[in-house]
Amino acid sequence: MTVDVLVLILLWVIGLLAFMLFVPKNRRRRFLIAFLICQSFTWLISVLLVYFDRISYPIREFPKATHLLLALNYFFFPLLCGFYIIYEPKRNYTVRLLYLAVWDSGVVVIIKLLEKYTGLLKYQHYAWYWSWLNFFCIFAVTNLLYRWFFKNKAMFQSDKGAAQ
Amino acid sequence: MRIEWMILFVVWLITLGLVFIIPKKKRRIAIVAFLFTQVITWLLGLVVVEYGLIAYPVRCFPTVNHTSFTYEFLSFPVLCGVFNAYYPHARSNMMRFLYFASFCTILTILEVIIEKYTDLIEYLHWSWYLTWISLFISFMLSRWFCVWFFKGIAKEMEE
Repeated sequence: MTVDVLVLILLWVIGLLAFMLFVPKNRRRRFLIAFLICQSFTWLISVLLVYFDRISYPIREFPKATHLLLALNYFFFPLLCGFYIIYEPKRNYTVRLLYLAVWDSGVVVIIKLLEKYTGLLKYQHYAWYWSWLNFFCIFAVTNLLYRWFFKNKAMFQSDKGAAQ
Repeated sequence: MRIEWMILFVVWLITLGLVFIIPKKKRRIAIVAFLFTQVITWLLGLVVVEYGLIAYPVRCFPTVNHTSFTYEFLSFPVLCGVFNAYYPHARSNMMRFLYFASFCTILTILEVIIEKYTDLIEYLHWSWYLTWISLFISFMLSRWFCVWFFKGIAKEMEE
């Protein structure tokens, strides 16, 4: 129990520190867009995964209000997606696909460690390769939407005026 | 079919319809507002249920969420997108306040009616004016975020 709470706190602290240290100032907004797009997906998908009894989160911040773990789905996974996107190399598709696969594997390793050594997350009818596929899709789709969002640079000049 | 599910269905339809009234030029502002609002509603929705202030007896994914997924994931964020897309930024302070107030008031009235006549939402330790104030603050935060975002993003992209 205490180890789990410690891990929860660590997830937030490490995440916040990583945000402050490794997100360059001139990429903050782009990072946040990636974070927010990914968060929307992790919300929807984690609800479905828990609803269909694939994953459970025995220990969580709001045990009465939800069966999801906020530290992961609200914060940590979207954060990892933000890092994945702002550090993606501007190379050909093969390199980018490999880069995505490496990030994705990192996420799965974190999930498996949490599953094995803490009570924060339990696989019910699920396996690591489903997690891998799941995050591969989430990250890839987030990346696509992110590219679409920033495609037309001229649009942002006009948006600037409208937002004031 | 119970009246509650019919209302939820209609809310989904209306919300999806609202997406189409957002002008093409304002799409990005609406998206940023939509995404940012989810950050607020996800967290606050959980807090009010966890501390027994509001209950949602009829809801989507009842075994996972004790909050209103429809309202917090979709409806309110989309409305916030519409709010920001049509925001009268060039008008006087008075007009802008009225714009805020009318959004909050209409939503509060709808919520109070739904609270009174259906099982979609129950106020346990809550009042209509808390709804009004929290809506106002949420709209304001989304507005602030949009302004901050779009003021700096053009410069950020030049690099």
